[in-house]
Amino acid sequence: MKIVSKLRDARINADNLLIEMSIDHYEKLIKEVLDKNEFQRKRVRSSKTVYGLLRDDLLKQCVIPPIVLALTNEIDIDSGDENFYQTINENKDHLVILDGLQRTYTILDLLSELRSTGDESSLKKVLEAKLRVEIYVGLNRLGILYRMLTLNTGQTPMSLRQQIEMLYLDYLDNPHLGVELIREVDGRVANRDGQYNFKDIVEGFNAYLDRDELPIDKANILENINSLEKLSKENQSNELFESYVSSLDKFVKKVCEVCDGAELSDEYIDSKGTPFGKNATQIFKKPQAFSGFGAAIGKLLDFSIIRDFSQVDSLINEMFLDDPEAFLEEINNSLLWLKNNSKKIGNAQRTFFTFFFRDLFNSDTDTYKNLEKSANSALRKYQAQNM
Amino acid sequence: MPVTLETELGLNDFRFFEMCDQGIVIFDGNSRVVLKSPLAFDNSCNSNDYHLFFLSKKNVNENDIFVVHDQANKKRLGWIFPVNALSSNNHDYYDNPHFLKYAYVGAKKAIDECGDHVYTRKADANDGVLEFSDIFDDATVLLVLYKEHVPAGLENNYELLTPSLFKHGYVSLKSGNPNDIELLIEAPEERKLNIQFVSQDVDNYKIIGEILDRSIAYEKRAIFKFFFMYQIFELLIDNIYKIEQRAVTKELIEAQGDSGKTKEVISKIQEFLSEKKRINLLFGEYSSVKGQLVELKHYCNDLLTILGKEEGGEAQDCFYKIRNFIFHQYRDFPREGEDCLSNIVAEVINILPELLSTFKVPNNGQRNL
Repeated sequence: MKIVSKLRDARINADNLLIEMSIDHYEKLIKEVLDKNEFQRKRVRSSKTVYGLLRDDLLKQCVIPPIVLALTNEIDIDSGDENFYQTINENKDHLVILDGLQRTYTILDLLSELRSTGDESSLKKVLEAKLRVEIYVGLNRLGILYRMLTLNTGQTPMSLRQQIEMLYLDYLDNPHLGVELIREVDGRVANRDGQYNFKDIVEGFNAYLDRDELPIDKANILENINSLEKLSKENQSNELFESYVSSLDKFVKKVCEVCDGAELSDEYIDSKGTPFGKNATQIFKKPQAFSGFGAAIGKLLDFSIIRDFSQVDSLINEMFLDDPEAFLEEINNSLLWLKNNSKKIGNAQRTFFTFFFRDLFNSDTDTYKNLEKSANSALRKYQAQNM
Repeated sequence: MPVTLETELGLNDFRFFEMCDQGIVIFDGNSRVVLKSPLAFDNSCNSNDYHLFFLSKKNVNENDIFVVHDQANKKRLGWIFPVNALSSNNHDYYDNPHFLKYAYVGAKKAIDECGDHVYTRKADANDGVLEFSDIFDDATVLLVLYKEHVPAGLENNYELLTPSLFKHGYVSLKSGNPNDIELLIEAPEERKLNIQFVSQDVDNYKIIGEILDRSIAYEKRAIFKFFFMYQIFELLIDNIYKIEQRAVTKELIEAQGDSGKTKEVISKIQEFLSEKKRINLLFGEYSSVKGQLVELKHYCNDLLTILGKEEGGEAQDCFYKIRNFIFHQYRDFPREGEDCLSNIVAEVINILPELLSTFKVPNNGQRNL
């Protein structure tokens, strides 16, 4: 293995290393990463595409374009070639493939096929063939995300959410985050205080990045880059994801505190049917509310109505309402109206929550910090915009 | 014909393949694509036991999901729901076991049967994951009916359903853009949609269906809607003319040689030659809609007042007066009459299913005139 080049990428504040290694070394490095990393994009299954042709070309020892990896933690890059490979190996759990996932699958499939057919001579040739691998080493996650998107231009796009999920893998076990993020594969429900579904949090954070509460659509490269350009106006070294999650958790805890255990009455449920949420937790611990929160904060930041997440935290502490039950009924009435009058209920709910949080945290509104009034005004604004 | 998607190799047909955790897998023989859905589809039934009809409805809401009932026979026929309901667990029926069975059938058949004759988008299969709304317009609605509970051969006689569906704002979806449809009718308040099949005595139900779905549905102005609507009445009273003529011809032959009886029969001929008289026969003797004409009479008289005409007696008299004014004196139609005319058209749409389902030749064509 040989480090061929070391460059500093000032745009994303990371070191870029170009490494020449054998396919054998690469396989050892990456195989477990793919196996463990369920967030990697699913492979493109099609034998007649270019990946089928690539497989044949690899047998003929073609040179493929560099595969690009990212290391999401910091290591010593000046320790020399052999030590570096060992260090990378020790940290391979933090490796993410930025570009070249399908090529990686093709390489591993080929090796597996050659082993099963016992074609030792072809196997030896392929394992000894050289491969160029670029590795970005650094702590700036959003910068790496930016680089991923620009690398993926023109190719089969990876969805923005998938890329964010990949980048924030480390947070799943990070005690500094202050909350526990639970993946679908864990088979558990996020039903305790401080527990959240990882998928829902990612959606909400993406709504913040995009300033758009609607579910993540096809990754339009230009739109994604534009979102990140906006982000570059904020300090890139801020751990925005941590800030978003922390503020959201504060909001959920505070609204539950002011509602003081209140729930919708049986009479209400009998007359109106199954509500969106019987209590504050059931209403606000949902992806629609997370997305509305993210999009609203993003928009308020863009309009300089709020400065940053720490100001949001202060506002959360000052939120109030007079009658918790009336508040729960008001917000459920609004969501019930949306259910019966929307082409896509989920989208309508997200937009409603965006209006709700904008009205709640905007000092120019009559409903500033008032939970109950914001629930009412949000529906009126939704109706004015959509009906 | 199945749905067509863009792939690296061009446009390919994708068919239903299997269920998966994320939704439904469709396959073109080469690549798999997942159609995302959070619903726990019930795939225990055989989709060949069901009909699927593609419809569209302007401004249809995701929660506009209804059980379809045969009003006359009080039988459950199936379900009708927007295609967006397949992609969501936010509506009222996401965990309803009956709905989940019909949702499965609807999803499967929608993929396998849409082809080129139904409006779809050419979605990109290369992502590997799609939403139903990437393929089907938001206005797309699926009507899934259990074959055993509907008349045999309904797949070739969809127009037997048209007036009832049209009454609730549903229009047959073909290859044209459903966003061009102007018909806008609120969803029913109760959770079921009543269907009245067009009577077998209505010979030209296919033309009537075409007039509703291809003409009236796309018209904005009340005057043109009324014109097209009246063509339906022209068809029906033309039928009545033929039936009456047959009966009278028989009487005339029997009255041969008897001058008194012949004169009687000839005066009856003059009766049914009159269009106004045949309209009366349509509303009176040939259907059972007479008791439901209060609103129609009210709206017609409102318009007659605006037009400076004398109000009518029976609903059909008023209606015919409106018809005469529109057809012979439209140059004098005032702007303030447009709303009234819209109300008349809306009310006719409302009573049309009853009129057509109860249309019956009296005494099997042996009318005593």
